[in-house]
Amino acid sequence: MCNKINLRCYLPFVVSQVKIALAYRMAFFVRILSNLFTVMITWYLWNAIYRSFGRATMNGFTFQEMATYVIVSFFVTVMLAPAQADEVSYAIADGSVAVSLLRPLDFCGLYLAQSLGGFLVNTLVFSAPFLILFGKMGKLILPTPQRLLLFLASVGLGYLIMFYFSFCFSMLVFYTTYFFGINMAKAVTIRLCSGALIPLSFFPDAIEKMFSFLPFSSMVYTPVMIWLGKLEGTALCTQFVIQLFWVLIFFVLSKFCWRAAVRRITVLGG
Amino acid sequence: MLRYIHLYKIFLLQYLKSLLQSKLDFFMGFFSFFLNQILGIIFLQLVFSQIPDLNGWSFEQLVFIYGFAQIPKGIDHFFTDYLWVFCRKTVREGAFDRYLLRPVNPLFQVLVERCQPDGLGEVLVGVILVAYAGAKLRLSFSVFTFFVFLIAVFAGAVIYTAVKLFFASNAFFMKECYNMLYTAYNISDFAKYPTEIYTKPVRLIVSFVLPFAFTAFIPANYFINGGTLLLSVGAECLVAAAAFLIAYLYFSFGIKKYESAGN
Repeated sequence: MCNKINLRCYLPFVVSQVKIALAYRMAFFVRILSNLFTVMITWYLWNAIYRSFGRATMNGFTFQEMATYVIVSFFVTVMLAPAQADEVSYAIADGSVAVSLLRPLDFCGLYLAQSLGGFLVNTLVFSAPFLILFGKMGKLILPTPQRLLLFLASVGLGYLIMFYFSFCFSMLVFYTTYFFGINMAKAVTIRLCSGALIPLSFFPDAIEKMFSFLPFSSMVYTPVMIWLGKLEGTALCTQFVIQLFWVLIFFVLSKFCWRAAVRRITVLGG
Repeated sequence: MLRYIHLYKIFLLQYLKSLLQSKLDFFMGFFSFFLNQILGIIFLQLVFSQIPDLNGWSFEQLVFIYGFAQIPKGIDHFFTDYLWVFCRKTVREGAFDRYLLRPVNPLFQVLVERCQPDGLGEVLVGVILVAYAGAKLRLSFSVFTFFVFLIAVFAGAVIYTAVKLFFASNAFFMKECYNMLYTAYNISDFAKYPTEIYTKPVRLIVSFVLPFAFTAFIPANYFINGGTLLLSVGAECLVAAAAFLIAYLYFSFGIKKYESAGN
């Protein structure tokens, strides 16, 4: 008997996404390969930058550490990609969300389960092998097992933040016809504020401070700094607490958003 | 020839009319695309707060090259966006036949089928960056340089179209051509920066295999540092002509194969 609190009911959704992702792995792989070009270009740029810089450490990063940052932050964005909950906005846009009201499973939980399938594939198939390979090739610094576990925990929390945030953001589909434009603005903002473009310590102090109040730095910057071993002790604990805080906020917000959405669908006769 | 220009004007007008039906959509897409292009500049600005120059290149010079790279890309993006659809769907779904039935060159039809306003966003960003950097670098600006600039930019667009056309023509020969086209197109990102920062194999690929370096760095270098007009913009035009010829031959070969299969 499937009821809302039986977690096992969500498992088929995770598995189905894994199967889909593996079936379309060629397309995924090509997309990742093309994004890898950006990583390559950034790597070459930093190479030239450090040579022009002359000194070994810039803003607390040696070249090896920066190279590691560039590669690891890229793969973190790959792992976070399924959390962007595109299917939610599509479901709302084409109205199929109304059907979900008839189902005995929690809509949000369902999409979380599905996205987790993508997360597993992106992490285990598309990220882990490359990270290990680049590590063995000496292109990046590998973390200690302890740091790796903390890194994974941080990525997990970052994933949940991204998912619940995106879920709430998707609700905007109800209020605008051109969601695609706003969605792109969101993607660009996240890329800028999460540390995906450049380590946040490179921003002027005032801006860096502002970013620390936003949830985005928890998505990429925090996990990668843990990987590099630059976040330890009390600072690390503080960051984990901050991450948990954001997960909670967006989780609660998503409940409110969903209830508002349901009301809107049912009132409109959907 | 004049007939084609006339036909193209009709296509363009029709498409623009349908587009402006929703002005909000138009501006939102425009604006978001704009933002996306700026990220690379933000990166450069933050980096230049730490170093005086990059391998001898100043911030303004790099901005010039970066902006210059966007213009041909945007022009091609605006005009020949249908090539993506062609690669993914048209041949496979049998929709190509209608192009063969019309009394107009099928290549022309495939190239003009769709206008993509996002391309204008790229052009605008490129122009703004080039204007800003050009002013900061105190580049001399005459009627002559303006014409050379236009030629360089349009020759660059031709190179983009040629590369896209070549890989899109794979649709005649294999089922899955989209992935290769996507990969080849994204190699153009390497052209946004001086090619000397790359290792030799990468430099060779970006210069001579998929000659995107000729759309951006090589002509931009001429405007910044001088040098021979012939060896830079002249070479670019040569490369553009050669690339387009190769792509056109491949496309024609593809059509012949398509027709011979009894379609």
